Amino acid sequence: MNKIERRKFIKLGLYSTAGVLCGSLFAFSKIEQDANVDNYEALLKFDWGFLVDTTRCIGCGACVRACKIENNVPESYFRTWVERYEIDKNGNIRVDSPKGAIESFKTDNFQSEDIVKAFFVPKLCNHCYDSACTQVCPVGATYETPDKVVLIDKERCVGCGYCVQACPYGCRYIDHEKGVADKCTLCYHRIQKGEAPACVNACPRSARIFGNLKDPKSKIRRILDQRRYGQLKPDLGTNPKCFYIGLDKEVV
Amino acid sequence: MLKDKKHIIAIFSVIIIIIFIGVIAGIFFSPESFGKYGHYRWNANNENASLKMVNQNINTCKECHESIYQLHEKDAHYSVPCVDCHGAGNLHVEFHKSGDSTNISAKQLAVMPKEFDFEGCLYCHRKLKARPADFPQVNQEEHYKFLHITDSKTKCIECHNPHEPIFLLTDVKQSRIHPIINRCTECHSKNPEKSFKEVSDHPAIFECKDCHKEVVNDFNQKPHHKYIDCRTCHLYHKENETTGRIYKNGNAKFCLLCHEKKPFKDEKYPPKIDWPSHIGNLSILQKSDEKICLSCHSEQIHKMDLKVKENPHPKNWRPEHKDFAKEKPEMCKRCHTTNECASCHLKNKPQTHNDSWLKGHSIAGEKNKTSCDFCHKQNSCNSCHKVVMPHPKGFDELHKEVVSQKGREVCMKCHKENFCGQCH
Amino acid sequence: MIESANGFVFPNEMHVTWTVMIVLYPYITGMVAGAFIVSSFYHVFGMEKLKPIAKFALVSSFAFLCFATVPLLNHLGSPQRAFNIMLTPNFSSAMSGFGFVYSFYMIIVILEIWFCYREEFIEKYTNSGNVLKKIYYLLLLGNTVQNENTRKYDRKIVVFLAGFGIPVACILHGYVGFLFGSIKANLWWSTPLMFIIFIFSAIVSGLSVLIFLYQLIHWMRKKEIDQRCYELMAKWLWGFMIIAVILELMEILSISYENTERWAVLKQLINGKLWISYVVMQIGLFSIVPFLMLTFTSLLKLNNRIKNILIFCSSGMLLLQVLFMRWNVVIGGQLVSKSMRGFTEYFPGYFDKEGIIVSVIIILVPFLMLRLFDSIFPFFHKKKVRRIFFSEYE
Repeated sequence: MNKIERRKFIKLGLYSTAGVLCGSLFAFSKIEQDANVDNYEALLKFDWGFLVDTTRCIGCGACVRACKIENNVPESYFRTWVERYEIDKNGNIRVDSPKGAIESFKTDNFQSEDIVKAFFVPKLCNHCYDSACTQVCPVGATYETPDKVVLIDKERCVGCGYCVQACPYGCRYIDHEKGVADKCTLCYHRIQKGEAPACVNACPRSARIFGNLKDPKSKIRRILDQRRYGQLKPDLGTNPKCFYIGLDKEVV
Repeated sequence: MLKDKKHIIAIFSVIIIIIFIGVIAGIFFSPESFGKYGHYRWNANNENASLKMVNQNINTCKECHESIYQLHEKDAHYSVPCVDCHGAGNLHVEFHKSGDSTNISAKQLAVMPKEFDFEGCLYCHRKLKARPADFPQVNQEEHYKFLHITDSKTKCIECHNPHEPIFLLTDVKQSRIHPIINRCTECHSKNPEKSFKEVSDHPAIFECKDCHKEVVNDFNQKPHHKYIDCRTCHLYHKENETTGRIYKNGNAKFCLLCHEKKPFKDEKYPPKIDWPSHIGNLSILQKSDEKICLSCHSEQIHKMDLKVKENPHPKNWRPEHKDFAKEKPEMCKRCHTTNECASCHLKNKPQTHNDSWLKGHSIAGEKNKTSCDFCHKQNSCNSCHKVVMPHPKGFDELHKEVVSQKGREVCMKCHKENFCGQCH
Repeated sequence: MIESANGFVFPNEMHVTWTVMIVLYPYITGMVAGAFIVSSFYHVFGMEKLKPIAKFALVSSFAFLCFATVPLLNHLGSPQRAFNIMLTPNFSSAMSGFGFVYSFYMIIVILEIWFCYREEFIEKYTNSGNVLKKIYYLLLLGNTVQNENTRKYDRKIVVFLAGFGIPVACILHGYVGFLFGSIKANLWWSTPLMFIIFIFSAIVSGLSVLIFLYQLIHWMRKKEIDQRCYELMAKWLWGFMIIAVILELMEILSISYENTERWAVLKQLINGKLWISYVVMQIGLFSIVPFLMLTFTSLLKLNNRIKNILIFCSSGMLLLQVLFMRWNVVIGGQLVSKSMRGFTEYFPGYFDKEGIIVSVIIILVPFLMLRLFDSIFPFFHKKKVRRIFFSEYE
């Protein structure tokens, strides 16, 4: 009695697994057809880079506002923001970014006469070559596109927040509404259509420059070849791809 | 022995089956296009790339708003994209491109924010230490105090047109590079950019008066020098890091920023005018001239080389100016000094018209009638002579009738008693 | 420069990403791993004194293991996709192995329980009727054969599983430590010592929860405990807590001695936001006090009653110490801004999805589960316990 039942059970199991296998094979064969390899190879020609000229930034926050609207960023999170650094004559430093500077800045933090050096630093995802967030994503939802943009697959992301912890630049956040991690995409939907990212499009001072690092004629390449620039937290080995002109030692 | 191990085999086979089912389910549920070009779902790339664009490019705006685009392109805000003030514009573009004007809700959504409040301008132009010093920025309180604006709620757009905020005479992109930058290489062997990116940080090595001595000295004599300096009108700032650009300014709208009468401004100071009634119907002024103020007021600023295009007065002005001068003497004074009248008029008369003039004026009149016409109207002869003066052709034959109608007295004013007897 | 930092945090850091749920997860897995290791002391290392608690340790490990993922699932942004971690694991991520380690460990624990309790299942199967009989039949996979041979095989397999389970338990929990310790972006976490600290604190929490429950259950059931077993566990607890606390302090010491920029920030953290929960509670009250109490009970001759009370109290305090330690690690690390110029605030909220009420429920449910398990897998063999007890004193 027992033996027969068990045999039946095993048989059933085998049949069902075979069925599942066949089904899955069928499903897979279907998918293989609509591959767009050309697209992949076309993208390999690009390596999107970002350059921020901090000496030109006026801290107006137009980039932050444009980004919010473009990407429907939740209220209290930011894909890009502007920081202000103010150093007074005694060497005190104050850094602030009220609401990510979405409404710009209202007043100087020190007495205006006391400030010896002050500047704005726009921040955004660095789209690192060796990004910590891509490394730590447990499900392969964060990935690097062939054109070297770090993106999130919102269909796969489980929202564990490990990438948020791993990003040394504080560029990531969990979108609680969608339950997934999110961050700057360099406006991937725009750059694929030949447009500049929303923040670059909105910048009234051309402080943000965007372009293809693989193209020797691109503006970003030309500037990078001519001028001295820095990266954020280079010691962490993330190899960030957002370059800053006029970076101060205080900026982290 | 084997019989006693059966339960072990059973439990392990259950575990293995579970694992196997798990693996199969894993294959079954693993997403399509995963791992194609790396450890990710390739289709996600297309999903990310196919999102809708929200912020519009300035070129899209240009397609319909060409005239505003041209205006905007010329002035200092040329680098400020439309989206910064007017919002993203995707709904606007969508609605107007769809051509479906019946969709009222879409129409409402398509309205772009036009009015830009105070705060909006201050996002960029509020005075902050962290802003690059050469970037135009205002402390609102000081700015209003300087301009004697009494209403502190006055919006920026009352004076500044956001599309052409500083009314440059030269297209910002074609503005002249000030030749001083050619001297940068004297110190900076190659690019002048190297050491001081901020023009304002650069130690002063020259002043305007070094080269433009005459103009600056002249300017310092004039009342304006107390309130503004050279750079107020001639903006000197960097375009990209290497070039200093200079603008010739002096646009009418620029002058009006201070001098136009507006309800929110102090009435008396600085001197205010009504615009455009100030220039009235003066045909001497070309209303389209951007330097319209300077065509009269240049003296109050500094010497400048203004090209006077043509005589402002119409051809028959001489005879008419008497009446005009009586009616609106102040209008003449805008251009002419009282000495100028004296160059022709001695107490309202030309110098030639002395006391003995009346006796001999017929000789001058016969010689060159047109010179009379400069001042005198045709009927001014009539007032004394009662006949057309000087006598027109064929008067010889007509004079009989004139004498019979108007009497001999009319003729006797000029002609002697025996004049008739010369023929008759 | 850092002294004058005025609390700048990146705008996205205003909200702490890993909430109190992520505090609970290592806390619960810590107890899982600790309890399992204790049970293995008996099964593998043959510590006969620990026999009375071995099965209890195993079952409680299982009870906690069942609920270990609950706080994680509650915290996940998209819990419905939780299985993605096993479908498309990205092996460059420390977290990707979680699903496999967890299920592997689950299998080991289930198998060990199955083999341990097979005898009892058969006994119950023969004694009970109707529905219960069918359930036990299913549990036994339809095999009710029992003789000397089967018992011998079962015991062998249990030893094997228990031995194999120790590294897996260590991996399961040390791995959580590694998860934190390997984040280079976080000043407070990033240390290779982290996973060692986690393993030792796991054993501490496992031992204390066993001691605590053992005493509590016996008090509630008004039964005598096995004094030798109890004291041995107390001694183990004493030893492991010393190692755990020393490791934690050594880590702080070495950071402070290196005196890099990192210490400048962490100093402010310890003296500021973590002063109460870290210095006062974790190190002061809940480490030093139980250490002293356990020192007394381990070294001095005391009345059993007093001794048991002291051990019971110190085990309770150490349970809290480990909870505080988890809080200080998980939350403390996130309070430090990555800008190194400021600190965020965090309070879980009372009624939030990841608030205090929910956390208390999540903490308590495994204990209720344990009570339920007691009726299926009775962990204190009533007769035997009594027999040992009497044999000792008669």
